[in-house]
Amino acid sequence: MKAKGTLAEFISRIDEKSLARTRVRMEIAIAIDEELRAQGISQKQLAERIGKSESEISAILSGGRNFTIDSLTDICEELHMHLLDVEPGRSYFAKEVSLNYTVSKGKIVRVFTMQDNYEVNPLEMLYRPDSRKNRIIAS
Amino acid sequence: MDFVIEEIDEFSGSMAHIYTIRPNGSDTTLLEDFYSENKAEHAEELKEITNILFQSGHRFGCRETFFKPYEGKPGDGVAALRVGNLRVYCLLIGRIAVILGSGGYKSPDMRAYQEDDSLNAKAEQMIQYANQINQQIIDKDIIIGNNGKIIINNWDD
Repeated sequence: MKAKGTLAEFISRIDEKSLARTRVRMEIAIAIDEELRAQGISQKQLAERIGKSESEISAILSGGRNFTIDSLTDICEELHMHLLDVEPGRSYFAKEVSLNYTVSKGKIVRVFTMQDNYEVNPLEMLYRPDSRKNRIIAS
Repeated sequence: MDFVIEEIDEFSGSMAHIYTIRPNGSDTTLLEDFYSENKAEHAEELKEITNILFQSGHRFGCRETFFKPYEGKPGDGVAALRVGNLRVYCLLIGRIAVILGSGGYKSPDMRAYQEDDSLNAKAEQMIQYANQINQQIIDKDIIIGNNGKIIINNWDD
């Protein structure tokens, strides 16, 4: 049976963006729900542990609530989950910068290896830029 | 029986079959009525309910975390799909099927639907339908396929 009336109106207006938001919320809800079951923790117990009401936890797990990152963080910390790891194991700060010190003629020569989007400390601009791409050699 | 079970094609998918109820003599289904009644004041919630039903049918199945169970009598399978303070009562059949009824707005200061006459009526209506459907399943007049497809064997009028 094809939907009719107001129901059909809402179905016809389903858009990819809102569907994606719902999908992510439902995926997260499933992950948390399964972890609660695996650890034998009730929604009520989780609520007590993170200082929320049981109805708030229930709403989060319903898939229909847009909860905050802080709420999700609290849940992950309590259940030892890693839902918020953008890319597990990857550091967004190191950016493969290597810092090597060598000594030449009694002077310490500091060599920076720069990667894309790495911002050099303005103080370090005192060092003479090297002609080789992305290398700064101190003198 | 005084109603028929109708599948909602747009919601049903590989993970679950989504149904609603049409009372005999009515031009509209309970779910269509629910949308009409709540469109003016709860459009955002209805939009989210639409998305959840679509995703349930096509991607996730009808999991209990989305359809809050134990809304009716013990063991009758009556559950509630809720977004914000809007809820629609339904009969959950594992993860593979759901039969949706009607529902309404539950005020935040209400602990149970019995406190509101209108909401109570909708919940009780779903409980009555669930009782009949469950009996039909026991009598094998309704058969639920492995994929959640409902097959009517013998329907007494």
